[in-house]
Amino acid sequence: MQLSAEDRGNYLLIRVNGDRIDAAGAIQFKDRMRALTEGGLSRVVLDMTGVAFIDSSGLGAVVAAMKALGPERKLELAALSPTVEKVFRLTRMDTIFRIHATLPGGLRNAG
Amino acid sequence: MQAEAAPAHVGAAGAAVLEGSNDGVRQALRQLMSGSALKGLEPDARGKLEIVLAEVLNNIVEHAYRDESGPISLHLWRAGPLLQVVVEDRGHPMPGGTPPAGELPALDGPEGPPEGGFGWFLIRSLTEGLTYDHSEGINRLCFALRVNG
Repeated sequence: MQLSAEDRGNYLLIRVNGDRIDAAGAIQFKDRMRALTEGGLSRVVLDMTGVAFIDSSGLGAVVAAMKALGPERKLELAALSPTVEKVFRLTRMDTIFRIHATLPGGLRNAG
Repeated sequence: MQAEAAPAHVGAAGAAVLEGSNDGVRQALRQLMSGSALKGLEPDARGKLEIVLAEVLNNIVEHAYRDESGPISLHLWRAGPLLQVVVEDRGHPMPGGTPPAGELPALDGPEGPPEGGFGWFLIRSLTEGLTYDHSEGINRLCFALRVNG
């Protein structure tokens, strides 16, 4: 699973290039998120398009990434698949994050 | 040992044996979800099954096989509105001999939102009839998921 970052003007977009955030990749996810979000835009959006599955380790890694941003910055989520949405909803963690159905508009609009 | 799955139609027995590692679990779930063992199971039921199996299998890797890896076996079969599952491993027994109650961690604890403790909550929320026993060196976890159709 790879992560890539793109400056969207008013937010930093992080794309997950992989179909699961799970126990096998949770530590890697956290480390990569920390590296990509080091000192920057206060609003970070994690694009979950294509992520078909997340387990509790993956959920914990997303929470850890949010906490690593610090209290002044926000981590938002976009494009959750049904199973991923179910995990967030069952654990009530959907109340912790702002969740978008699709990518929010940036200063340069997404196609 | 090599991870292998022996999928079959859900009407008959579905069985898998996997290596007790995070990668073994990932491979087994991929194969199970894309194979023919779950033919006829609706997406919502598949989603619930994958969530529960991921948590159960990850627990075995992390706890039962914390010192030394080993095989995990999985059997699934339909029984009317239920999907019955039995998972076995040869690792350390569960502390206290009973599975955790799986209470949901508080969202607003002193250290902010929780990063862990969700696993047993998810398992308990999505399953019924969960039992555990350990005998002759084998841990055996049985549970059912309510699936429609």
